[in-house]
Amino acid sequence: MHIGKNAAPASIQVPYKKRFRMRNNWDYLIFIVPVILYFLIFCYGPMYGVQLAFKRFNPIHGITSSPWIGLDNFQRLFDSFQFGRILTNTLVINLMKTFISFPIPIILALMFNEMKREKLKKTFQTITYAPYFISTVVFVGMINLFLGGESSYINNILDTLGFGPIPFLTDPKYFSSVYVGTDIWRNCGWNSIIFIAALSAVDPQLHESAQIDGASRLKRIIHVNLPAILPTIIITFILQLGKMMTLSYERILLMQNSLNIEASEVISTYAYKVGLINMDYGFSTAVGLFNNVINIVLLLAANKLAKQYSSSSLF
Amino acid sequence: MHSYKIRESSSDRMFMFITYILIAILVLIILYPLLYIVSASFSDPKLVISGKIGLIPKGFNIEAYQRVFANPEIWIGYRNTILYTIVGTFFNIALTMMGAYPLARKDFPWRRLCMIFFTITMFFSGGLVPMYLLVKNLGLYNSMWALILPTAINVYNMIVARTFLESTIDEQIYESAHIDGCGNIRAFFAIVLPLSAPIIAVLVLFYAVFHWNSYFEAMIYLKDRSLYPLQLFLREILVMNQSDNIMMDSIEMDTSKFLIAEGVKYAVIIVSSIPVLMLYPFLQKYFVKGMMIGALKG
Amino acid sequence: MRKKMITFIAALQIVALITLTACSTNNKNIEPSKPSIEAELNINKTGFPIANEVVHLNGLVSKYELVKDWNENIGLKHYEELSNVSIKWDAVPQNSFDERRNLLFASNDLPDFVMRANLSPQLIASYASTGQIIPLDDLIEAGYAPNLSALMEENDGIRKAITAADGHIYSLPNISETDGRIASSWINQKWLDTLQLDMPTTIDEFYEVLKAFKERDPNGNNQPDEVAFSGYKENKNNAHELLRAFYGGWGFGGNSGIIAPYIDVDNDSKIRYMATDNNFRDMLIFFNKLWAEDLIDKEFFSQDSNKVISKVDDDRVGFVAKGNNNLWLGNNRNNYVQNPVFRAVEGDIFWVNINPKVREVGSFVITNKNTNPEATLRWADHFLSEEGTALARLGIEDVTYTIDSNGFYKLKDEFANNPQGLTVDEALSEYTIFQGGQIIQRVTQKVDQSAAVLPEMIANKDVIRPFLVPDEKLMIPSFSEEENIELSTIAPDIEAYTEEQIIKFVTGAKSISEWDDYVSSLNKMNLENYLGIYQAAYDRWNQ
Repeated sequence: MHIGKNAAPASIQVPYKKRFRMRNNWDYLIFIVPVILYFLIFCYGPMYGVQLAFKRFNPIHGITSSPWIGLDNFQRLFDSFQFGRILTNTLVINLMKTFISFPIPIILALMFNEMKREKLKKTFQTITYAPYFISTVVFVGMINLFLGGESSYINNILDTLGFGPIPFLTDPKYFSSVYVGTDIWRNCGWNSIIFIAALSAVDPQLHESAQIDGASRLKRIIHVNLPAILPTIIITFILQLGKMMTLSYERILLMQNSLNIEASEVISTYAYKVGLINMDYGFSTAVGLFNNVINIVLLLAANKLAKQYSSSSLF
Repeated sequence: MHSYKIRESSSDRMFMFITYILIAILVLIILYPLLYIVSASFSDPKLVISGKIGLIPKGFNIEAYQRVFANPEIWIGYRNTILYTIVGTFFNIALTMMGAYPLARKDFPWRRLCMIFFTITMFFSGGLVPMYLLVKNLGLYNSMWALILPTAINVYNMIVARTFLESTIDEQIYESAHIDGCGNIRAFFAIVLPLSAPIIAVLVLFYAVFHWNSYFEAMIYLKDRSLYPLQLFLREILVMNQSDNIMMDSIEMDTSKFLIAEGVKYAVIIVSSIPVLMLYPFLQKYFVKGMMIGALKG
Repeated sequence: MRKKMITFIAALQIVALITLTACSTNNKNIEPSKPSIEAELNINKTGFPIANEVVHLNGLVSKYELVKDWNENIGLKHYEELSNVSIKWDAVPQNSFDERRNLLFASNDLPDFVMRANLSPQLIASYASTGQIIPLDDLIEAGYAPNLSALMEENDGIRKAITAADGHIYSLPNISETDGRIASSWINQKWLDTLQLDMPTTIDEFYEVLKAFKERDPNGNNQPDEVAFSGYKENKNNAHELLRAFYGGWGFGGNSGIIAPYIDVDNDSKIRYMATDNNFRDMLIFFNKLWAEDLIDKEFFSQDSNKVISKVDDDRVGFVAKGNNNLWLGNNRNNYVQNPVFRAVEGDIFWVNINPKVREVGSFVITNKNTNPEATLRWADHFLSEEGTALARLGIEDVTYTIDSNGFYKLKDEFANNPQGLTVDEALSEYTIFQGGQIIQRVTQKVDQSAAVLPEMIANKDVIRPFLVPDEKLMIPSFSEEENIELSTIAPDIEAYTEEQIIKFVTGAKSISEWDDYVSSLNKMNLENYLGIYQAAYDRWNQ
């Protein structure tokens, strides 16, 4: 307890610190116990439901006493003529999300961070995050209006430029681009918020000293701002990889039509349609489990890489 | 960046110029459709559908809004949603920060274990049926708590908060606090909370918006209409105004009567999102750079 | 400050602990109790009241927005006084209903009965196999459903329609005997007149008409903005939606697509798959020609109904095959008339877009939690009588409607033409429960006040009436639980593949020369078993 303010590097302190840990850690429990209880009750409590993936659900018997059917539910998914296609479509869209949509909010946050006029900055940020609030139904309605049909806004513009109308919504080859592009439009502002917050914690002194050294703005962004938010970037990226097999069905279902179905049927929409026929909770649980096993493998791999090459990782 | 006193170089000015141009283009791309929604909500629905309106409403009418507000339950919905959002967000913030803080401390011994324990729940969940039974057995069914407790922590948000605390608050600060006789609990209130204003602002935004927009839990767990949040009422209004649901009708019906659903769709967005939209400028002041870090270090 | 916070955190922990212990208390399933003798004595088999002493029931209902409040509904209150059956409604908004209903069944947390239950035959079989919904035949035999019994005696089709694969009756239907059950297609008579064309009667004439609509500027605005043949996207089966108004012209006509898309019954009572038939191939070739020549709306598969309405309003549409009346077409609706069946082959032709009289079979079910199914059944059965249907659709006699000397029901003027400009559905919202449909009722021309009884609409239907598929052929299939499970494995692929390939043939994304590959792919997907299941269902139904 008598160490000076400018503590020596941690490595030298190890023996002392260890002792000090044992004695003082009980008070973390006050924080972590309620959190652990929450997860026990509301997450681990209902988790017995996962076994439905291997069962034929009978409500009278309840989940635990319903009969086992082995891997039948998974078999149904794998045997479908659509399986290869829905897997590919899911992966293509999510890969595009990971490598195209992901960096944009970061760039946006870095640019906002350079803006000096506070009022303008505030207004602009509010505008960019507003689309997040548009409901899915209207959002898809607007996509139809702006991109669909030969007389839509965008096609009118393309027409005058001489590119002719492009069947954005009915040609399968455009589906993933339209999906990801509109997704960026809707979410880039919202997703940038977390990076803006992280940037606000950058120590201004770092900038000042860099500036004295004659570093240009761009250099300072690269050497001061980017490293400062790198942990947040790495963590969100790892979490993004952990969603590789996940796509919410609602929006895709609305954007789907008979002409683009080859490219627009994904695992979640397929499971939704099949599950609708006789409220098959077993099948939908199985599909969810299949997705999440892949998700978690990807997440673990990403986490391992992050741990190896950077100082930030999940665990 | 007000504190920079050194003059900008010409390349910096060029850089800023490009930045502003890019942002302006982006803002325009986003703004146009947004204004379009506003304009559409005040326009003749038929013109909206045929794509004839632009940024200025055509065939100005407020019928869509009249439809939305014709239902007195909208106000009940507003009241409930505001209540759920405030109470829910409070619990969210409290629990999320309580989880994030020990996870961010290097000397918390079960750090890794807890992280794994929490992360697993992002991928494996029991699904709807066990959750419903749980809520029912806990006696939360048909009460506000069914919307608040089961979603009290979002693992993603907790991890983001942990990362923020980890990367912005040096171990040094804790250590020096320790030396001044400050335990982990006091360190939380004296150091962590003041320094995490930006991340708390982000969490408030994330959670509040989640509560504001959520309807699924309400749809499953609430029985009394007097408890319904705004989103449930709005969803009902949307369904009601779809023309294919009209069973018997007066023979003299105008086309725009059928199409009112189109206007209602847009009006509903305005009605439901303006209040949360206003939250951001309010929270933004907590994103001011370098708050207190310098002060504490100095 | 610090102390306060610690107290707060401790309090939180206590709350959490309490909830944890509460969690461990078990919910025990209540055994379904058999109706007691007392209950039986309390219930009258005919007349009112239904119960001598008040019977209390919990009902789950899908609430359509325009029925104001099921617990306060004036019509239902009136019926409660009459019947002595008092119902506490759990009214779930229609757009959340299926989810909630499924969850209540899945967690076995059941009401006494479900109204507007919206159950598919598959779900009925599934819930019947778990015993959660009870068979009603014994109660019907015992005389607790006098109206249904009378109807079944008079018309055997009703019994067939509501009997499940295991031979029991689990649910009560919505019966419609009006023209509302016939779907129409609409051709622009004004354009025909303008261009001095005759009403087409064959498929080739129809083609010529569409071509003329497209090329000869029938709306006279000097712009080539006409859409000869329009339509909009549904949630699924869009290929079927495009084609179904034409099936009959190509000679299909058993049960085209009502029970499942592309399932038809031939004259020897054999189930066949239309979508692999050679006539069907010819039909696709024809439609491919329409598509290639731009006679079909390019937005057909991507636009919604509102877009079509707005095109109709701009006088841009020549033909559209949707709706059972033309009110939905808006201001220009009177330009449109029903076209005759367009003949494409020799021999018998049909108009196939007709629903069975009995539909929405799963409109009402009683669960195994119900201790008084006799009263419940009698309560529901009333809606199958004329007065009961009037109660559901028109409200209360002399308050909202009157009966004229011919026995026809008429809404009072303040409801039929509301002075505040409310639609009929809105004006009646505190009196009736029919809004949104799907209720148990028996609609006849006498009690109907919908567009189906308008003289001009009847005249439209008269054009196709001689070609209607006879009721004997309109089956509603019901499957056993085993059949259900097999269907749920093979049907999604077969249906999705068919839909997709048909659209490709129509749009030319796939050449018709690949027809044989398409057929053999379907066979590989176990089409034979699929048809076998439907055949078994048909044979059961047709006994």
